[in-house]
Amino acid sequence: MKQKKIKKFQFRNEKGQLYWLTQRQIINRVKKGEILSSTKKSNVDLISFYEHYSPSLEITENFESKKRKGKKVISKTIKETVTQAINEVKQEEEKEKKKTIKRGKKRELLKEDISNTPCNSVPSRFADSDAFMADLIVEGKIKRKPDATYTLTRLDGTFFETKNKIEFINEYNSEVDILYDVVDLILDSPDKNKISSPQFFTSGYFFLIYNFVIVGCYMNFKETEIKGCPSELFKIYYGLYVQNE
Amino acid sequence: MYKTNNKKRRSKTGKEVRITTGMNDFLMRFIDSKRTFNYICTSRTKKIVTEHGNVFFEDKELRKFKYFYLVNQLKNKILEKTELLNKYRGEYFINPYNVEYFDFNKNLKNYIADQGSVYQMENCIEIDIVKAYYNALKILGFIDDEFYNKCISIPKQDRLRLVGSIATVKTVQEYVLGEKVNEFIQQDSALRDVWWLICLKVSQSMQVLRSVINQIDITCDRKEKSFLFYWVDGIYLKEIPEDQQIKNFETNDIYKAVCEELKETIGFDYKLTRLKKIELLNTGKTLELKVFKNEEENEEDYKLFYIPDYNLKSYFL
Repeated sequence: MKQKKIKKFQFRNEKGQLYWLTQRQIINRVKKGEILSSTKKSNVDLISFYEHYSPSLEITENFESKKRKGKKVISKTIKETVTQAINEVKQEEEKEKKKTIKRGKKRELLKEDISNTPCNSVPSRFADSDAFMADLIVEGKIKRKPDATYTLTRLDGTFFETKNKIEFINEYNSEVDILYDVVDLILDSPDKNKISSPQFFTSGYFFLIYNFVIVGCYMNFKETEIKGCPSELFKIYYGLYVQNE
Repeated sequence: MYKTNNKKRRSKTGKEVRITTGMNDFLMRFIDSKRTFNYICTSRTKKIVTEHGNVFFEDKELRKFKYFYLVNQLKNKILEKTELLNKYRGEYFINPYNVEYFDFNKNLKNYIADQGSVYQMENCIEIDIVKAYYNALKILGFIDDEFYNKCISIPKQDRLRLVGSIATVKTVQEYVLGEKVNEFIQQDSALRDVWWLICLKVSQSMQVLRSVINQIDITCDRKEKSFLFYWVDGIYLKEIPEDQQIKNFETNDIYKAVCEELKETIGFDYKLTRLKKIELLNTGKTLELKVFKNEEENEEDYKLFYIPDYNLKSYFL
């Protein structure tokens, strides 16, 4: 025997759970005065049901206003939330700016245009690092290396390579710590005045490409023929640092 | 002996030779013959410039690029708006370190402990900005609608190269009688500032979206965060389950409403896509995310993202 298909309509209860009702079930509930909440999917004209089966309840207006009120509340929440989020991001930007100003001379040196600084050699993989980064970001792609080996050029020029991630992280972190210390030594020292070029650290940064995910931009040192050039100074102070360690 | 089997093309004026291989041979030849020249490099091109003519190297992919005329037009349009740029230099902190290109939910690693294990997430959504960098240029006022429409009508790879050309940096090496005497980097600071500004605009809109999604989670009383990660101009999140949705509204409506509000305040167009699934893998060395979209039925068609290790330090001057 062929079973007759009964059409059902989708509703949502106060807890947000979905359930289905036939037309007869809708009518019974409306007659009892129960407030129903339909979904877009059900496309039920509840107002006409209420007008026909429960006119005394005067729910129509309340139902509509409740629905409208609910939407308004949600809309207001989203508007407020978005405004709050934008303000938070702006505050973070201001914090970063203040940090930058506090570092003062170091940051100013960074911002200056390096094109007038003479130098006689720049490691080629460092020179166009910003352009490389721009390409990478624009393409939005990272290519996978065939072998997952982590490599690092230490500050003393020696090469470190490992397939052990923890080992790599430790080695890398210790190099960064040394970098912090030596740079601070130089920038606080009277020898800084020996640098004839106004920039110390330039915008050519070398990448630490950790399994082809960029985790930061670091420093590039350029050699010059001028006495007391940055990389020579760095070598001197690095030597002093290592000696004192 | 130098290799001579590379294919050469001579320009119409006869003063430039274009090649796709063998640039190092040319360079060595010039150095050995003690000539005076400039050697100019970008990430994609290399050029030897002498008083008699040039040798220009481009990779084969770049040769297919037909829109060099748009590169100059775009740069000129941007450079005309110096007052606008100066205004933005006051409003925004334009600095490459102020741009967060990506961010991952730090709790992702808690979902998956053992090497080799896979954690599958269904009911995920992707919200991405439509033509992000071009839209940023338009919103900031550097290009008009007409030029915007011209740019977005070209193929995707060419479109990306075109906008990336704003950030071009050239390394110039000067040789006198075969000896290198000078080397410096040439870049236009105004164009570079505009580049970092549009990167910043896109990254900030992603941060705002992330923050809004986190706030919605709090409003819905969610135990875990919806936010999974964002990468440049696309954000990925887990849909709120039915029993945790805000009363009377389906999830899509919430995110659509958020996107509409963001369009009014920030100006970007957002596209919402339901994803087939996202897989989180622990390979032992890395944590990886594979994003499968609905349209792709092939299991090998996915986008791959590597989660960075936040234990690594960084040094910013």
